[in-house]
Amino acid sequence: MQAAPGMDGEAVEKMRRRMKRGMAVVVLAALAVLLCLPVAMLLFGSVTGDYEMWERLLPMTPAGNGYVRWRWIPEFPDFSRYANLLFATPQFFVLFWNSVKITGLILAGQLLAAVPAAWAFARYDFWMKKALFAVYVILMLLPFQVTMLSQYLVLDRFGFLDTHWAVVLPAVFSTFPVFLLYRSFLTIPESLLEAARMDGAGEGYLFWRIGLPLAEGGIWSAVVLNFLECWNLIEQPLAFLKEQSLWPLSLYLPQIGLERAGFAMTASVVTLVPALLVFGFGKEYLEQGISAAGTKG
Amino acid sequence: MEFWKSKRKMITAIAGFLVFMMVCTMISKSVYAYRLPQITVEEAKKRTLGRVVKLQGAVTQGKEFAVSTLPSIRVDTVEVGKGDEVEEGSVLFTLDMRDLQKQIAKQELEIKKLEVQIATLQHNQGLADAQKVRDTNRLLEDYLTEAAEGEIAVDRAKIREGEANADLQKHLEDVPQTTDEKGRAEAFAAYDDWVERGKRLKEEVKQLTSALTAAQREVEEAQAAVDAWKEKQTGGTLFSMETQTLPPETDAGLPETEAGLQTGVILPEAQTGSSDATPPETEFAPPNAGLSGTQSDSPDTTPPETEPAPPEAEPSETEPVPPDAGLSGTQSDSPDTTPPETESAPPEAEPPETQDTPADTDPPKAAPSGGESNEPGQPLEVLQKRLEEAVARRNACADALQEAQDRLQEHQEEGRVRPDFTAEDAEKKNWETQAETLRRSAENAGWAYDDALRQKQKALEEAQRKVDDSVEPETLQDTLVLNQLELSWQKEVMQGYRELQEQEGKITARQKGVVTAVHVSPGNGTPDGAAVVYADREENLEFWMTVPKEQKKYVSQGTQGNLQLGNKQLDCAVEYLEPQADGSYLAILSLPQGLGNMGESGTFVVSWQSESYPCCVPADLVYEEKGRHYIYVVRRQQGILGEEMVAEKRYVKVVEEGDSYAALEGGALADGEEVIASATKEIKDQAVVRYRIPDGM
Repeated sequence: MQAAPGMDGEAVEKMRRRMKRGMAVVVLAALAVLLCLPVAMLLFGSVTGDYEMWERLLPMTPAGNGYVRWRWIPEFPDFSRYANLLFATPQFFVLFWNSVKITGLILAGQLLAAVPAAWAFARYDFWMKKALFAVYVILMLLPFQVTMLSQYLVLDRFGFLDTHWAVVLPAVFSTFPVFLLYRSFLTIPESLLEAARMDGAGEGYLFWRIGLPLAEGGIWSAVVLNFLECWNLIEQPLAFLKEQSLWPLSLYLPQIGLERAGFAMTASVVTLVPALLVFGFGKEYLEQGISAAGTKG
Repeated sequence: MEFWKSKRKMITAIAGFLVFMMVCTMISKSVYAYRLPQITVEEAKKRTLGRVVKLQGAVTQGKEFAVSTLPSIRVDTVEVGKGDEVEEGSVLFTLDMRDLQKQIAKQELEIKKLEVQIATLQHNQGLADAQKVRDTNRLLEDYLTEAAEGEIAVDRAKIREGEANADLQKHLEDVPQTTDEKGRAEAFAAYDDWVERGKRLKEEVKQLTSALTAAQREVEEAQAAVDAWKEKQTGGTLFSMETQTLPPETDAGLPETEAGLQTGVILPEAQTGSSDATPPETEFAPPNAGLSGTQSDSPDTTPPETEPAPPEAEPSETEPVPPDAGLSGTQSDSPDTTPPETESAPPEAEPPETQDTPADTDPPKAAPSGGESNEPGQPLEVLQKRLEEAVARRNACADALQEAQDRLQEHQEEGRVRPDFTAEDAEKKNWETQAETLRRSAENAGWAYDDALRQKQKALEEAQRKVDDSVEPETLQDTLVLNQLELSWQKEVMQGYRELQEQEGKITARQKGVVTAVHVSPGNGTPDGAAVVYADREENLEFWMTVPKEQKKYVSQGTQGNLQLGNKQLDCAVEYLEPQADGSYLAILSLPQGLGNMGESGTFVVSWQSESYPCCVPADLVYEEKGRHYIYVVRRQQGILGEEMVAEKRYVKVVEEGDSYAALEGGALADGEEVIASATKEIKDQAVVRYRIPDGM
């Protein structure tokens, strides 16, 4: 790029940086808008009237032809679906509280099981440590479909099928939070722990007073990530829960047919709220935890 | 604390959200429950069904009388109307007399026409009957003729059958005599023995002839040796002397030789010369043929053979040697072994080892050889002795040959011929052919007899059938009968007209009563049916009511009920039930004397009780849709809210229906299954419902 007459090199350089930054902002903004489109569609669709929604989605039905033409702004906004969902649909709340219960139990269980396990992997040397950790990593990488049958047989043998424990217990002992927390605990300097030991601190003291506070970010990031995963569980409840009254909220939306697409969008918006709140709660920890997990110990 | 400060807002938001959702949960449940239809239920029961049937009807007369007259007569006046009381003999209506006269005249004309037609038909019927009798008589005559002719034909056929059977029997009795298989076998065996014996004799002659030839040669050789010795010792003089001294011996030998030739003995030269080319000898050659010397001729001159000699008959070794043939050593001189040069050097050609006869074993046997005879020192006595022995053997052979030739000639003179049964077999076959011909003739005669019988039977049947057809009663001539019936009816009608004329056209009541219907009017013709109907006041009244088709099952003949007529009630039973054209029924009750008035309406009440049914529900819970009945039952199902109650529309079959309950077909409801009795809102199929407290609890 040739500099304009009358401008010195520093000004040109400054202008060039601004232009680069502006282009980057534009590209990123375009990508952000693109990624937010489904959410926007969800929000607008949730207040679109039934007839309008049916008219737009008619091409998707066997009776229609052509392509769906989505209009963002509804002609007659209708908020009655929110009222209907929140004040006249107890089924939704049954599943909502099922999801809360399942997610809460899973997260609590993971904190109890995964934090000590990760501390042990990070801070102690024991026989077959590397092999055991390799097994953990392999289990983390295995998709659910691979272990579904074995899980089903074990749960059936223990009599947990068709109970919430069928979903909770396998998730409690998931290896993914162990892997995340392992990296967080590795960031604690060994010299610090040695100094505490020299001052007379026991192993429990080290864990409670030094390990947990210093790995707080990683723990909360694991909680947030696992919350999002547990809130959206579909395969496990579908495989292990036959009784509909035990289902989580993630299975409610597929039960709504195309003729009630507007209602489904409304339910989706409400379902999205807890995830947004938890994400807002743990955003900082999530960033810290991920960065810690990416740091080589 | 620092954590709480930094995350206070978010924690508060999350908590607030959860509280909000909890409040919404409570509100939504209450709203949902409020919107659900609330129901009460009942269970099916086992019980009987009751129904009260009310039938409306009216009182009517118990007995009515119809007054009628001949149709189509013009009415002059009508004296009564509906509801009028009439007495016995009261005039009901009057006919027009002029029209009645016309009807009478017309009726008389009709009667005369019918009478003429009947007379004509009867005359024609008489002629037809006479013709039928004649035809029947002729057919009977034909029948008798057929019977006689058939009998004759049967007799003739029977006679022919008897003759044929007799011929056959006679022929079968005359069976030709034939030799059985055993006799034939014996005849053939005897003939074969004779032929075999001839062969053996012939072979014997042949061997003896050879022996004689050999013996003759020995004599000649011995004689030659003696002559040579003499010639050698004495020269020609001595030879002449010896020749003169020997004649007696020579003469003694020559006559035998000549005799042998005369008796048919074959000379060695002739035999050896022809032995190679001679064909097998004939068995039946005449005795002199072999002795005539023609045996040495060529085979072409040999007499024709009647039986070929067996090939094994030629070698002399296979045949037993006759005991008297002491010179059998001459067998080695058979044609096969004798070289053709035997004539030029016979002594050298005979090896002395081949002779096994006693003469061969004599020590001086080497003397006949030419070499030895010329040896010096051989005494004359030895040579002469050898000569004498040779002459003796020749003579013995000649005698044996003569004896064998005699036996052969004697055998050939028997002249047996081969047995022949051809003529006998031909005669037997001819007899069998003739027997078969006669058997067929007898069989044909039998068939002809059967045919004659059947033909006779058939002819008689046909004739009989014709006779039967002729005497068959003919179909009635309906025209005549109908005319007669018509005439009878017209006379009755005529009688009715006469009676009306005598009554001057007045129609009267036969007894007291009330006129209920009048079907005549002045100026119009009388109807086919009743002209005037009136009821008998003395008879009991009846209550007539109509039973709808759907209520027929509650009312039948004899059903007890309560009849309500005004302010009076009466327990009575249905006496008569009659189906109507529209599917309903007419039920009639008899009323006691003095109860009810004609035309009065009333109600007959029947209380009906059914049998016990296992599944009965209130009748108002059974709904009907397009002719099908259904009820709503409560079904429990698992849903998101747990166990929920759902109204299920179930089609049922109502087997009986009472006033308050209906009986459903078995299996419509399971044990303990509840039927929705009432609801706060309209219920639809598969709608979620909940209980409410029943009214009055």
